[in-house]
Amino acid sequence: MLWKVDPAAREPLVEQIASSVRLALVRGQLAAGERLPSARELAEVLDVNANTVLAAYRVLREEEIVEFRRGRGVRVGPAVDAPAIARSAVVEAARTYLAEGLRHGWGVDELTDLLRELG
Amino acid sequence: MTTAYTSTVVARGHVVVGVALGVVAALLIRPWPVAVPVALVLVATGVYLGTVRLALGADGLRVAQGPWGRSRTIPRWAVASVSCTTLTTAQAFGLGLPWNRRASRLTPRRGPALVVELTDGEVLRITTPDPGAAASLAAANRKDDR
Repeated sequence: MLWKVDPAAREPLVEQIASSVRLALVRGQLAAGERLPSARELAEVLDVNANTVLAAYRVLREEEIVEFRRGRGVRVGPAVDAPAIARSAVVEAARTYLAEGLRHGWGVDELTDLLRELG
Repeated sequence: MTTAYTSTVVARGHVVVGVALGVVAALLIRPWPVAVPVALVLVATGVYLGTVRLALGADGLRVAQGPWGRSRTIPRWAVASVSCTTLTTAQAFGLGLPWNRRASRLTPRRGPALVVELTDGEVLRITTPDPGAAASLAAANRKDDR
């Protein structure tokens, strides 16, 4: 699977790493039960601190996307619902879009029209 | 922006053979204090041989056999070329591949694999589910060097 992080981005690195896992699940690049790289290994290739990777894995554990097993590393949980993850990602993006539009004085109808135009 | 590719491949065949040999050893070997460690070693060997880890980042490549332990690190400058291939079952076991004295195989199963040629002439074949993505990333990294 592909991991993308941008230290200069506004989004925290922890969230960027967690988003890479969610995206891989939605795209079918990761399946239930699949093992994720160790925090140290991933930290080395992404050039970030191992604690940052561990924090991202903890976020994903709280969302019940991954599970930690002693001696077996970090694995994708057995009951991961990829469509639900995709939906929550889209809802989150829509909320950001809506908030940004309202902040600039646009109405909901105008934002809906713009979406139709873009689509 | 930092982009990395990682994969962990577990070939079920190796694990199943390891477990089967472990069970047979546990049933045949006596006394049991000898049988149990022998069975555990056979199962661990199956898991070790059936697992391949790959991590490709901006600084190079990390490959390892088995789910535990340190990886072999290959710096970016040591990689001459990266390409994709699809291995048959025979090729996954080293049969029918072009002869190269300095070839290394981390191919526990047939299917897509990454072929990495190093500047010293060594050729590595590594099983990974999406070698295209890994090869594109390696090519993009090499482009940055120029």
